[in-house]
Amino acid sequence: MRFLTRQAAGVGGRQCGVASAGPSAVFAVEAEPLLSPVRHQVDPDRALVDEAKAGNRDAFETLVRRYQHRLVNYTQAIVRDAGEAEDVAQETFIRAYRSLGRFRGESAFKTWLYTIATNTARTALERRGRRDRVGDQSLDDDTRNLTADQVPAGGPDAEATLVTRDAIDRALSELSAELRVAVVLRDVEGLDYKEIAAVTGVPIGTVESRIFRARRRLRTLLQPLMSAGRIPSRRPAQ
Amino acid sequence: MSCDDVGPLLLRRLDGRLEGSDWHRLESHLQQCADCREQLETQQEVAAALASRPSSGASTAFVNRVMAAVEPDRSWLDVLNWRAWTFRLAPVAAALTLVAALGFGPTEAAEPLEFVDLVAEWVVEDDAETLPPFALFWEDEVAEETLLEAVLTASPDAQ
Repeated sequence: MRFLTRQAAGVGGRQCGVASAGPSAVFAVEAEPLLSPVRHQVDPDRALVDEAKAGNRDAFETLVRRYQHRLVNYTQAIVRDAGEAEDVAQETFIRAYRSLGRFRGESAFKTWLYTIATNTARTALERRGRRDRVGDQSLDDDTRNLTADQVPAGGPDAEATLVTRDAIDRALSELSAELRVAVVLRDVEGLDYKEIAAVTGVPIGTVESRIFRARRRLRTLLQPLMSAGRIPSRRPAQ
Repeated sequence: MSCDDVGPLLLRRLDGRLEGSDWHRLESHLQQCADCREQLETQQEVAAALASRPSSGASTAFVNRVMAAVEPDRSWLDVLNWRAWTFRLAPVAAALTLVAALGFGPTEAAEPLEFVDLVAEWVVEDDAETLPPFALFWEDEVAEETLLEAVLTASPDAQ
């Protein structure tokens, strides 16, 4: 597979770039993502989903408990604001609950949930405007996101954790929504390329292109943190 | 292999998804191209950095808020059920209305009452041998005990 060439900054002027991503897929919030005909593994949530579809609220609550932290973690990486992240995650579960009848099980429930979360987060970003893409965020933004009542009482380590996470999220916010979603789904949430393609509604090649470009951009933004040793720059051996 | 072809292969190599001839071709290219080796390192470092991002979980009340938020849906369903019950009971209501209409159907029109008929029982003829009990009320001087007795003992058969 080949990327189209494009002048890429910071690579010595040599053309070694990637293609622009195609237009983002537009589909209904609750629409089930399309997967390739290749069979996927048995959905571990299938039984609970079936129970929830039959009207068992406890089953749906179990699903909420199972995915609450992952979904809030994901939405916060996208929208950055902690309060708004929970609102987006909450709205995601509500939409999922109301759309359960339309979920046919052709994709995994997790994939479907991330699809709804992604579209809900995008809507939230659009509502907020393009503020999150402003590249001249001042240092005040850090204090805005780290008020005293938000710092846990766990001592310096907890505060350092918050600072690190906020610094990474601030770097992510410099990316466009498409690049941010792709790289967060891959590197933060651990979805594979097929799942990301299903969630975002674009081909796997486009997913790879977005992730490649996002990481290249983030390298510059995260350099200070890496240099200071605040975040590791090597993956554990696989 | 040119640098233009490297991008997706770098990603797959990073994820351990590169095999066979593609792996050999990429390795051969990386040995000769410092820029692409730098690209690989960039991809590795950023992926590791993002993977190390401290997770932010949901608050302790999150689940309760979600379940409370989906509850209004049940109220809406209850409303729907109310309407369903209304429709189900409509034929019953119609039947009862019909029965009521049949049971209290139109009667023969009575002849209009004359005023005289209404007051007839109250009229006391001048030559009446006996006075109705309430005639006492028209008399000027009647003892209270007498009036009380008349009220307490008055009956349709008193005359």
